[in-house]
Amino acid sequence: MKRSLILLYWLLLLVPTLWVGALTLDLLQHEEERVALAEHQAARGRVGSLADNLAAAVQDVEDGLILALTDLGPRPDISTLVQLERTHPLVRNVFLVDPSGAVRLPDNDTPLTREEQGFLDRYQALLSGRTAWDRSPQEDQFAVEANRFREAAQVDRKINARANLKLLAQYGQAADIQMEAVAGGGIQASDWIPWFWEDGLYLLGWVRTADGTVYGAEMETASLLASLIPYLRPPEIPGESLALLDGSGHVFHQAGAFEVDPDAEVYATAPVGTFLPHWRVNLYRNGAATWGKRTAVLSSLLVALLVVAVLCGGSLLLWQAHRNLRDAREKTSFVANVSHELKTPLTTIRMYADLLSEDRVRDEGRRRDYLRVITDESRRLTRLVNNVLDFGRLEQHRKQYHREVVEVGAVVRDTLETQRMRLEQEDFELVMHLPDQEVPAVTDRDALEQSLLNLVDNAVKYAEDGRRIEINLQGEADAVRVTVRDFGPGIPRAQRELIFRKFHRIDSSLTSRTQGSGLGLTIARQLMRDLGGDLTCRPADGGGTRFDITLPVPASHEGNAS
Amino acid sequence: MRTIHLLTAAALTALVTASAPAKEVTCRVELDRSVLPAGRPQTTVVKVTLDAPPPPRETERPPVNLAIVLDRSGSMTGRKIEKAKDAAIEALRRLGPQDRFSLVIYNHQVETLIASQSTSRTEWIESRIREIRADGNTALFGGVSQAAAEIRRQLDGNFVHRIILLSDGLANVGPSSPADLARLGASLLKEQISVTTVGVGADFNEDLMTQLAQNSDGNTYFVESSNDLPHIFAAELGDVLSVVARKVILEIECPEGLRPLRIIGRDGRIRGRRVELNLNQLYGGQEKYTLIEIEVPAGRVDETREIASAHCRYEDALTQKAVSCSGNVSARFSPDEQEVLASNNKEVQGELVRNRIALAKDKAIRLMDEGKKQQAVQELKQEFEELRIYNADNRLPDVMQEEARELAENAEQLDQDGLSKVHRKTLRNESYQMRNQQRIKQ
Repeated sequence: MKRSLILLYWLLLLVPTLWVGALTLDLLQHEEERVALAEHQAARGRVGSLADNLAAAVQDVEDGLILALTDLGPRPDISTLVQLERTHPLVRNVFLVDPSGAVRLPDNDTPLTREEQGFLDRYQALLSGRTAWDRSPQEDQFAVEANRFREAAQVDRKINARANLKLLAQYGQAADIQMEAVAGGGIQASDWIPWFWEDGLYLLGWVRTADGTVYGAEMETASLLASLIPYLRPPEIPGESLALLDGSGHVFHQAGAFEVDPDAEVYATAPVGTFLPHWRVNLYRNGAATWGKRTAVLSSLLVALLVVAVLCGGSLLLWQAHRNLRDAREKTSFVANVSHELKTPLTTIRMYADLLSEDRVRDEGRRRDYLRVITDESRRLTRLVNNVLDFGRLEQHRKQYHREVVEVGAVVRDTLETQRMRLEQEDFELVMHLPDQEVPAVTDRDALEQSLLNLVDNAVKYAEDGRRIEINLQGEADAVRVTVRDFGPGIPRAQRELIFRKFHRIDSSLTSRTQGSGLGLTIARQLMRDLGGDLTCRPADGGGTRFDITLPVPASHEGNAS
Repeated sequence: MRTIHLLTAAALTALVTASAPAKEVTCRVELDRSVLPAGRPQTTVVKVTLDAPPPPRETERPPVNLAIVLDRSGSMTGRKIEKAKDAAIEALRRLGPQDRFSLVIYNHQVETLIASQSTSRTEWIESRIREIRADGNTALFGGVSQAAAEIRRQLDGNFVHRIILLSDGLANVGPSSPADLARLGASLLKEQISVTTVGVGADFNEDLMTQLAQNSDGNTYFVESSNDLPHIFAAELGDVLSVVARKVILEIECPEGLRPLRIIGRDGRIRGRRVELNLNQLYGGQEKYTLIEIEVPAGRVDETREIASAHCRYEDALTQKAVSCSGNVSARFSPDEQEVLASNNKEVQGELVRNRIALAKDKAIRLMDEGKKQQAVQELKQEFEELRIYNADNRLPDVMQEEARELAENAEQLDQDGLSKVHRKTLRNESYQMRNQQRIKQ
């Protein structure tokens, strides 16, 4: 029942841990997705605001130039227009078309410079009247502005705040300008035309006066674009680069951590708007920017590690609990067994001692027998107590050995002699195979004796029908071997190592009939191992079990085989 | 006799104008010949020269606002970038505490390495320059734009603004055509910012570099070996430091009946009878001139007519005061061919020949670009022949003939070898430096 409780506890640990672990991983994944989404939104926002800044800059320039041009009206002087072109860095060319449609500036009557000729070629369609100046049907400035605002809003899908504000601010002004136009001689309309010519973008600003004169200036695009470059600062986030692409998709300018590959995947993009048609700002990311993903992987790993640690720790604790439980059980049975084993000889001693003291035994021979029994039982008791004491000392590593070179044959003979009488009484045949020559070994004599006695005790206790014990002594080059062999039922393979465990007794009908502490073999092996040898258990050929004691040879004798 | 009087009068006038206060620019107007054949319409060439006084002493010069733009694209690795860094440091060392210095480096991206500042922390600036490493592509337009932004930090004040651009390769990030850079140059000129271009090696686009320099009235150099870079920068700094006149505008007007036909070798505007040229700036001791071809109607015998008058307005670089100077020239008509011949101004005619040589080189390059090799060779040979006749007719000294021979030699080379990258750069540069009277030629 206790075991199943432990299993239950383990399940109680396993299931919630796994469940919580799975939940956490799921949460982490969601968090990663959320963070990635947030980053993407933020990036789109940044790119959008940069595009807006660029658009605003261009708009400011355009508005400024239109203002400068309108100031020259309503009757613009050709020489002041020329002066404007000569001195204003953002003016590339100026022009004037009189109400009849004739181009007065650039002046065709004088030799044209290459630049002037180029200008006329570019705007041929416009200056000849093939293309209308106005981009919208309405002609008043107010409506033109409103249309720009509407167009911008349609492209950007959000309210162009600046255009909105501008409209508001101009509300009164537009009315004034219209009044001026009514009064005669005022400015009728003005606008900026993005003009495409041979793959290039040109910007032409024009003003129309009340009498129908159209004049204006072509913007120096190179200068305008050059002034946009400082807006494109490298992104602060590592692993990001941004680029401004012109209308044909070529990179105009780039800034950031790495060189932009125009074919690479675009992380976020925003169009600049109507002020630079088809121009856009692109943001790119390289691997370095995916630290968010790395964090997710790392945290998942940590969670997994935590789960594993919890399970391992829990398992270890439960395993320890299980072992403690088992040890407790063994100790309890040990105590019961030892008590019983102590009790039995004590009872016998008391019984015989009582008989002798009450002077009830007349026969001398019987009296000697009784005394002998008392002595034997006392010895057995002593051995048992010694075992327990030894065990205690061994457990606390306080056992002291007296190592010396002993003649093993002599020790074996002497030890077994003390048991001969008992063995005969129990109907055991004892056979000893001892070599003639001396077999020296380095060991503690008492320990060897005790181990031999433990083995013999076991052979007697568990022999059942096999009433024969064989002792064998062999001296080899590197070790001395003493074998104690019985002809009992034998020890199952599974138990051959378990029997050396403290308090362990094979659970069988045989052991339940006999008393035992479960310590004998434990002690014997520990003693032999402490002294540089070992005690092993093997099945014997022809039935039964054999126990082999190995002892170390003295150093000077190594190499001499017997 | 009259010729001598005229010449003496001209000489005296010249002396008078020369002995004017030493610090002022003077305006000289000359004709290719002071006596014109009477009775028929013809064309004549007027040379208007602006003489700038000798360079001011170190302590008196106006402060300089210098921005250097260094190409650090991958092609600059090794010796080139090291020499470029030496050159930049060389330039830095020639500036004084009242000057401003900034450095922009570019590959496919543009970075301001040294923001515009006074040159008091030279060690720190030098160490930053030494750290420059080369790799990547070439965003030339971006580099120049950023340098202009650095210059604009100190646009107010009496500084002489100069950008020195160094490149060894083709621009391939951002606007990269000569036309784009030409427009940028023109716009910068209006802000009184000049860009001097230094091309290293054989792979840069010389048209781009010369047009950028020309439109912004800067100098241009073609440096085959990067070893020459420090020397070029130092010489350029010498030039920049000696600006005496800024915002130089030259107007030449012809009286009624005469008409300016074309400006030889320079860009300018002809409006009716007036020619307007922007000469931007003059260095100390420099002689900047322009040649105008003018149509003259038939003149009566012994009539003296004014051919052209020139008026020059400029700003004194040191005092920022507006100053002007003017000059004019007249010619007499004579039926005597000998008299006409004797009145030849060989100096003016020599300059005309040189300019025609320069223009012929440009034309040859254009024709070679269009693949018309035979036509290019033919044009050069023809121009050489015409100049030979011109030289002979006007009895010009032999040295002019030898200079014209260049055309024949170039024609031979084109015919045999075609137009190599180096040859094209050399031609382009020679023409530019001639037509712009660049002081430091190579």
